[in-house]
Amino acid sequence: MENMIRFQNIVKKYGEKTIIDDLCLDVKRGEFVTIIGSSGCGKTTLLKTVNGLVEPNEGDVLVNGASIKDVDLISLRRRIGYSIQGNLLFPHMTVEENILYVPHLIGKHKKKRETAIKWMRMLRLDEELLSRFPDQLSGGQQQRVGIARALAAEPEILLMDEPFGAVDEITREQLGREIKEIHQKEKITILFVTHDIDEALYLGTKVLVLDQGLIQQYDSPTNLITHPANEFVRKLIGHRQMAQSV
Amino acid sequence: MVSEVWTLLCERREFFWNLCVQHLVISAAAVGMAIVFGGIIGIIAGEMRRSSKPIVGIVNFLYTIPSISMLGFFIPVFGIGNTTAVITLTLYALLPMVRSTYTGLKNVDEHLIEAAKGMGSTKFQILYKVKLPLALPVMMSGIRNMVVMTLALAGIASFIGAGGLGVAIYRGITTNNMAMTVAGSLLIALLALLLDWVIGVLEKWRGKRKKKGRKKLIIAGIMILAAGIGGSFLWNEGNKTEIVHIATKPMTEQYIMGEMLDILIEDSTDLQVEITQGVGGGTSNIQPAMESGDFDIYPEYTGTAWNMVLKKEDLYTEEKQGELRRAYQEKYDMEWLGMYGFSNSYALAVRKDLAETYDLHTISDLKEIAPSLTFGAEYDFYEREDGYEPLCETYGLQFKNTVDLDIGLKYEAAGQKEIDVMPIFTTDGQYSVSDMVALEDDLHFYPSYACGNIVRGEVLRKHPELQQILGKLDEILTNKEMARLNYEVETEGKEPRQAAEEFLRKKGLIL
Repeated sequence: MENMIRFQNIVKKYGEKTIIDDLCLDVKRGEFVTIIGSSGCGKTTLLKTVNGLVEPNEGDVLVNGASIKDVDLISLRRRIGYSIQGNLLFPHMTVEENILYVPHLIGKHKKKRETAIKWMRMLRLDEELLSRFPDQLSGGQQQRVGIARALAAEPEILLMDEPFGAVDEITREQLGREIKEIHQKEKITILFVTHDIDEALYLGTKVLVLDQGLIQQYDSPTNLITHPANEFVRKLIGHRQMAQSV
Repeated sequence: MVSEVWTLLCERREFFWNLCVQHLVISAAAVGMAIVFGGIIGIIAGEMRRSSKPIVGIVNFLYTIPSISMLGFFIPVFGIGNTTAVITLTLYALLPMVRSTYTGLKNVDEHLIEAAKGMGSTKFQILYKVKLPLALPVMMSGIRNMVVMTLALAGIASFIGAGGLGVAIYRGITTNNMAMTVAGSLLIALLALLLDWVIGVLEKWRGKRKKKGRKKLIIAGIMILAAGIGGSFLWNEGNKTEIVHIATKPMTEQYIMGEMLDILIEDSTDLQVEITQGVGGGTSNIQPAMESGDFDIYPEYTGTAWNMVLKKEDLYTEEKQGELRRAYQEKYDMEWLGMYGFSNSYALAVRKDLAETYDLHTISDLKEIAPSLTFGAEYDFYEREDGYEPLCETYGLQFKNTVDLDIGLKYEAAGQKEIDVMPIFTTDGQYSVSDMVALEDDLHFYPSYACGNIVRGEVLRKHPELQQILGKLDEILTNKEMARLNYEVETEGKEPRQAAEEFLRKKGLIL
């Protein structure tokens, strides 16, 4: 399988503090990579180097074989879905306007409403909600709309930064199942940041374990459990409470 | 008081209605321009963080300039009238607009902005799709404050000859017509409240989440309309037609003379007259506007012209009138036409009974009996350079004692024989009905202030008929007659126009 994203010797520092230290990684097309690690380990920073929100001090990120230094960031971002921690829908836009935000930016005028409805269905949202505003939705509905918004322009890559961070356990599990389904159906490449090891093992086709800006292990969930690479990974696995459900 | 104001409002509906409309137009022009320019400046400050400090600093600084001096700065550049008023009001309205736009933009959640950026919005798309809509509530409250403030501040526009309800306030103050002042202030307050309410309703309606597109259109429409009014207004100002522009100073008698000129000129020519009554600052603001051609005619006093316009330092007497006229012709191409005959000077007045008993006609006649008389004057008269001491020195007077009085109580005190001698203005309204007699300033202690019209030579050449019309005003008013007219307006509550019309009719100058 070809490479979708390649991280080449990424170094990122904030002042004196090194967040990511000489990181190299290839992500294959169609992979669902969950990224896990202690807070402050550089998960979110790494994610943001893909759509150019964070510029590494050293190294390069190749998307589809092209360095993001050479491509137009605006059009690159429009081809990359971005779903973020917490509830970050635009409060002044309806659900429909939120979902269609990127298609509107691009100016695809045809069948917009159908697109919105398609993603509403995919995320099990009632069509009635289309004309509502974010503050009239439940937390779970808001997250679903956020994901629909990230997917609406049919991106090849989807970046998700703890998208289920603000919802209850039950909704979280449902959303997990749905996103897994979408991944299988749409064949997109997903990078998914989480701090929950169960979620990471359940969702990912590959799990990336980060600590102190270094890769601890990058492997399938099964290998992670059966062959933890080091003490850090072993501890992380040991912390999971519902391993049996995987 | 309430009923007086009410009667006035009812009787002069049209007058007040016109002032309200002018007030709204001037304010709308300023508000419209402030929204456009303030919005743009606020966006620049919000988008380019480095520029925000100097921009906000400059706008803050503008705001601290007192409005009167701001108007003063602009009069030489933009002349007198609505243009200057609108520009000044716009500058003051900038601050709330810039601030609210800047604050509104700055308070938009950083994460939302990053989300918008991460999804591939350009800087401009982030601004108009996310930041501006989210900043709008803050901006609206800024606009709301600004509108109310501008409406209130527009009241001072009349000070420099612009229209609006300030005209009523100012006229009320200068002609001692309390009801007029209260009516003007009341209407400004009502307008402000009304607009505050209207914007409040608009805001609520905007907050309702329906038919978004149309709402945007309507809001944009309102803004464009306001800016349009502003623009057309400034443009109109630049166009001049066959109008004679008359200015007057903020004094009751000047209002009356202004009306006389208006009536006479419109009665006997096809010319249209536009009077700007009570220009604040008087000569110092009217003279530059005469020189630039904004005004064509205004009533002036010889002594004032001598000292303030020609900047001569010696004492003016009417023997120098020839020199004064020549200086005006040569320096400014202006003529003195229609010397009314009265003189608004200082004088000393004594009670009539004393004047008759002792046969007093001149100030020198007082010398003998001064030691038995009481002198009364307002507080500052004792401190002034042309006040009590120099006067007594010149005439060798020594009064029995002196009394400090409020200027408004002087005549009353004389009526009750508490004081015997006092300084007066020769055209003081109260003087015309008092039992006081003005004494001749036989040693020329005070400069002479004979009243006449100053006319621009260019206007006279264009409309030679004005020469003859203004000539009709020669010697039509004595001091007592002018004082009487002032009294009619200030105390009896007559409108200046009515007083002027009745007088001209009595003199047979109009039918």
